[in-house]
Amino acid sequence: MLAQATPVPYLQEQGLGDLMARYQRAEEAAAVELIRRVSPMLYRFMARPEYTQGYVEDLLQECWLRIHKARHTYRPGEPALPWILAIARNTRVDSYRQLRRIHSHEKVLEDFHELVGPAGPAEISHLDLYRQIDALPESQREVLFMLKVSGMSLQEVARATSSTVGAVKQRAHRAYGKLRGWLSASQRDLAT
Amino acid sequence: MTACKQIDFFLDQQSGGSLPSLPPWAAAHVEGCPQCRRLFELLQSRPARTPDWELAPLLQSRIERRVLDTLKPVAPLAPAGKLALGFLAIFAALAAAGIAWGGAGGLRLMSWTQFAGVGALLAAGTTALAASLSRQMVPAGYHKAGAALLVFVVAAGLLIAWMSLFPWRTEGTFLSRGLRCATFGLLLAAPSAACFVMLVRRGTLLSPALTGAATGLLAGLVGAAVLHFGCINLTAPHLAVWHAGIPITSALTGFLVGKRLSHSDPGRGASGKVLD
Repeated sequence: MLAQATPVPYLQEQGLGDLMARYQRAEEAAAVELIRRVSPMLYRFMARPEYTQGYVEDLLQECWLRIHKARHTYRPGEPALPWILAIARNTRVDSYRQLRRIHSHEKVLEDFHELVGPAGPAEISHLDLYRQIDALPESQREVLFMLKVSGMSLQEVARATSSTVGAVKQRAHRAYGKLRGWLSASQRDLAT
Repeated sequence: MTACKQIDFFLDQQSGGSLPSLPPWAAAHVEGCPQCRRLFELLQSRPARTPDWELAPLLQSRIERRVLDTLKPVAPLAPAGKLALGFLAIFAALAAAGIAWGGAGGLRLMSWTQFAGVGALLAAGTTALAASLSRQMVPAGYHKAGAALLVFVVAAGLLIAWMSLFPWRTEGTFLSRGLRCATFGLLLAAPSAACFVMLVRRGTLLSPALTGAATGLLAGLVGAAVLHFGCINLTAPHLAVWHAGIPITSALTGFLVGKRLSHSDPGRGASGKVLD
């Protein structure tokens, strides 16, 4: 039988909506708690192997400035994570466009994955999940990140990406197909 | 491979790091198919918190400082329905002012079918655009493809209605009368756009080009609606070129302004209304 993993809490189950509402009321403790809970996930969402660490940190700060400026558009009672990730996604897309215009990179971070910890070669770890997701095309990567790393529902991902549930499913299924291919290839490599 | 693809639908339901409950045939497939089993194991391997999920303390404090320095209570944006009503109220007020200025001479010359056909399309288009704009003001509040399609459908629907409901004949005054109508309509569209923009900017615009096109189209519809009542030149070529040209031109202008804005002002939209 397949091993059943211990369910781990996803971000949207941890009262983010309540924190957002208190953040709107300018409660400092809520703002700090929100930043502490969401930032690591946002950092992961922003990061790409070809980005420098400094660049990702700048993106994260820019994202928080936008969230701060737009905080009045969050409607209390609605899921907060799609709202946050829609802004994060927009920040990333804008930066990508800007990068494409400028064509200047500080320093390519070659060992991005090594910075976030070692992975065992023969066993599947969470790092493999990130590594595999990072290798997917951008549209599939963001959908799988939201579904499987942030734990959002199909409907929430559709809202965050200004898309439809059907389109989200299609991207996710294409990603599953690619992951299957890579997994079987890596298994063959291990066998030989 | 078909069975593997069917397994994808179960993966859609996977949440909380646990496997979805599979029917016996699917469980047997996952058990027997190494690719599917490894995929399931991979997708449930997300940890709750590991060292790489911790942010550098310096970065954390820098973000906190920037947020807390300007932290003030803000009033949440009004509900989407209220915002849509706001757009409709602005539209009605401007159209009424325009009709009072331009007159309603065209009404006497129009058949009931022509008046009701175009009037219904104008009303439906305006309502749908107002609803769409009110959702575009909030991140994660709209379908991008749906909003783009709406702009196209409203513009194309009006064009088709004018071309099919009115007689096809041209007159010698096509250019002079047409230019007069277009100028009048665009003169109405410009202040209308300014009023709509004031409302739109209360929100956060993630797709300024698309929102600009929708705002421009709505402003252009004010001009088209006023001309629907006032214009006495009721021929299909005149309506299809000069009247339809107003919403299309203003939508295009809105699109270009929005595109420009997306380059110059990445953090688009106003900060909320600060409460005392």
